[in-house]
Amino acid sequence: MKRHPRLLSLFVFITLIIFIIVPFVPLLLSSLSFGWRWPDVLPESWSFRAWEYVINDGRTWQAVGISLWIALIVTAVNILLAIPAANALVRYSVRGRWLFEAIIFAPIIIPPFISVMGIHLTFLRFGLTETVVGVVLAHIAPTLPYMFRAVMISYQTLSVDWEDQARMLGARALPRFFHVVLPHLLPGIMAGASLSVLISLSQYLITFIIGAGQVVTLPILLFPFVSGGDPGIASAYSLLYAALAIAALVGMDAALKRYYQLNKDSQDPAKGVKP
Amino acid sequence: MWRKSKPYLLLLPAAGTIILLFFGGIFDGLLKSFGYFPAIGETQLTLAAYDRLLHSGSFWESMALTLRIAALSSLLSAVIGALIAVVLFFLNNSMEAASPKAWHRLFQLPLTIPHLVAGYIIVLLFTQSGFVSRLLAAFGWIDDITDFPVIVNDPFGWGIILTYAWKEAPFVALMLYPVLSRIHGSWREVSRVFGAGNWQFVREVVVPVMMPAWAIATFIVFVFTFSAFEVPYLLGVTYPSVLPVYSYQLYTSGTLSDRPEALAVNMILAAITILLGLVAYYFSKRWNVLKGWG
Amino acid sequence: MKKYPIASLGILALALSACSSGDAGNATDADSLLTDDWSVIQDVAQGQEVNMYMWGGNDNINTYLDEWVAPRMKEQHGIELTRVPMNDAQDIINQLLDEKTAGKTDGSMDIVWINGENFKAAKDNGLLWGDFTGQLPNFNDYIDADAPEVSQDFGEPVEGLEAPWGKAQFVFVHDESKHETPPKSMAELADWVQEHPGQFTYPAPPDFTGSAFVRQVLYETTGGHEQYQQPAAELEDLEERLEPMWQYLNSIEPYLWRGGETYPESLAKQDQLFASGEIGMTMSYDPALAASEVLKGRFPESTRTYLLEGGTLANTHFLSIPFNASDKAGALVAINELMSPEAQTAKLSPENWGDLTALDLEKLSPEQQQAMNEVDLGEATLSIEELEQNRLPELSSDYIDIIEKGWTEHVAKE
Repeated sequence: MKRHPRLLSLFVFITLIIFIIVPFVPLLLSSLSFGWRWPDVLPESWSFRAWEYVINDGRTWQAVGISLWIALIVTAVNILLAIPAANALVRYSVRGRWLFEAIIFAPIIIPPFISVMGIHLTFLRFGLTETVVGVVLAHIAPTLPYMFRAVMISYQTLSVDWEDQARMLGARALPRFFHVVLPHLLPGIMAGASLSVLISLSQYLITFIIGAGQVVTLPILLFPFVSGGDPGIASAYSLLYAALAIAALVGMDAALKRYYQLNKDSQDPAKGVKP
Repeated sequence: MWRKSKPYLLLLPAAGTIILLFFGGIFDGLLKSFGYFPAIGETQLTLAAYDRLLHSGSFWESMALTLRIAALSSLLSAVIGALIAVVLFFLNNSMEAASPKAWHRLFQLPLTIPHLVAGYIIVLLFTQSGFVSRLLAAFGWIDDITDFPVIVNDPFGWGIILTYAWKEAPFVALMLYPVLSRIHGSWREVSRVFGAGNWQFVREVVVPVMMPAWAIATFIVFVFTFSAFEVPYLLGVTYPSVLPVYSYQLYTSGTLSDRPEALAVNMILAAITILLGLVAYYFSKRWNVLKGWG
Repeated sequence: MKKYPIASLGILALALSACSSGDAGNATDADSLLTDDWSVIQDVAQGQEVNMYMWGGNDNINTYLDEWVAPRMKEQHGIELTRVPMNDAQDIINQLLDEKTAGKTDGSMDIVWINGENFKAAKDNGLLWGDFTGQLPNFNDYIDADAPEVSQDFGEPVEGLEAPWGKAQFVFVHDESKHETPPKSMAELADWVQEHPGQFTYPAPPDFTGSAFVRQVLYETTGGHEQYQQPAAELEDLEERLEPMWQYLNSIEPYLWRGGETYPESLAKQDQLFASGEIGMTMSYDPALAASEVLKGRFPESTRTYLLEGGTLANTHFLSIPFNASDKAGALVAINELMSPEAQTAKLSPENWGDLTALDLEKLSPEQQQAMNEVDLGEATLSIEELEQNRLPELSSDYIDIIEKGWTEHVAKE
């Protein structure tokens, strides 16, 4: 292997380009094309028509906002639900642990639309359809297990000793949690949050069933175009949608890094005070 | 008392939410699949919907299609995903640490792309007048739009399979990579001392090490592709359709009398996925593959 | 135990939904709107928010609603018109059906855009509000309520439940630079495909357009459309009557694209074949589609549309008000406005949409007629008069089912 790492890396590089990058090319071309007929590999002429429509339509940005807003609330709720649950399962001996795990992990295996189709009329009767609250409730089941899992892994690596030391130094439960436990859990929470945001952003069917047209997230706006609508606009929306998902991930990653940097700076003078 | 019940109280919000919102919904659906529909005055429980379903040809065709698509998608993802993981593993061993990291990121790109977008990408690439067909024409390999096979919105489901392969192969790779990175560089040295070539090393060391995780990852992809809706809805044909789409078609047929059947399809889907999930759980426990999954 | 999850869900729901339902209650006294004076309706409509649920996959149509109609509605009537994008009219019906089952009386849908099958399903399930079209001044002034294309929707009596918004008509599309004289009847088409093998095909039914093409064949090969104006069940010899149609379709099959071994899955596919020059003809149920494809650069400049000598199928699409619409007065005013000669003229322009007017041209004032005639439909589209004079009525949906299933049996499998 040592003999030709260059060759191997070149090969990997080319494969990467073909399988990861090239698929986006037609998306970009189609969003910018004006009359793109077979067998032209490149469009004859270019046009910003699709992008103009997508960018100038107020709904687009409304939909981006609503998609992010829902993903954010869902993630916040997930954090609040997952931390105590993970704590309980990792730190205490719980009878029927398998049952709790089975319950919380079940939505990974059973597709959430099954539950949503069943509960739809009940939601409708309680006035939860057509509301952001209803859509948030529908998004919790498919996302919570991932958050739970990530927080659980973090808890497993958190030594009880640290908390005990803090307790001996006189820290009470809440400060103990915020100064010792939470910073340790943070990477796990962020990992869980990334997944939670990503999964919430990519829901179409359950948002459609519960949102019933009144909660217009980006996939709801996009769907009529990708299923037999205008290809240029479908492509532009698809790129925007993909960019939104990537941006959300990169943004959270950057926020976490920044947090660490800030924390390092502020903690440095206090070194030695904390155990 | 407080001490004893504390963990259960801590678990209650999460477990309760899932029970209420998720299992409540499934239960609601189960009742309706038995024809229990108080809103239209139906309060008797019957198995009529299941009976109709199990005797209908389109249900079984749909089932066969769903199994075929899930099987082919998971196999394809498994093979490609394993290739990616192994190549990355060798690359990591033979290169400085910095650059592979960026490549890891790139490989994970398809994972972050929403399924709808991935499906549309496959449409643009592989329709008869799509990008691949244009490239082939440019190289002179085909002269005619019809020389390119119909692989999107095709009755076999190739478009769906391709989309899943593109989306899920990186997932398989991601599941395998941490397992592979447990193989120490020293093992490689040892095997070289014993005169093992690269291929032999892969066969004797790499494959056995990653086998359990590989099987589980493939299985997860299978369960997911078996029950996912968006991609087949976009890339399939009206008939036959995969089970989730079949259920949706029944659910939205415009008559309430089809609803119990739609929900019965859902319940059958749920039962199958639970069964598959239990199998995966059992083996992952046994092989100790999924740390943190339980 | 059984009811436990549902009951506790209720508590949760009540806690969470306090903010969600605001304006209920005006649905009960809304029925007086069916008899009130128009000025009363206009007063009630002031300040209402009207949600219009419609298919959202065409940027031209969306922009026409958002940028042409909505601002005028706000300015002239104080109505906030919001377009709600849907993937399929079927989803609209389904949602209404759910709301009816759940007893929801303060629905969000104020206007829905439907026709044909969806209308029938809505009517059969009692999802529409009532006989409202007589209340609309523009309906009374500009529509011939007895004309078959307005009083019936795919054979289903309309009964004032929906107001016509626009019309569609079946046209054939060809590239003038390639084939100067396209076939203008089914008999000519049969000769044409023999002379130009592989140059013609149609989308496989149940594709909407492909199915319409087969109906077009039905009218021409079995002796006209009049015989099919009665329910399919009443025609005992229907099988035999359809026979010449299957024979015709099978006789042209060997000369179709790919020797008729396969048919394009959808009109979109067929249009791609045409756009790339693979086939010489395509078809559309939207007479302005070809012009719009030329504008977007997908079809060649020399694309033209034409009709058959015996006329072609035409249908009307409608706007309706659901049974539980919250803002019915606003919906009435909005629908009336959408049927105004100004709005219809703007809708006719291919830059906005290119949809044919639902209004009766003869009822328009000379100025209004002139305004319509001056709209540049694009070279690919036929004139309104020519289309008007060659319309054939649609047949009811029970035939459509029979024909679509029969096509698979008699043509696809043989």
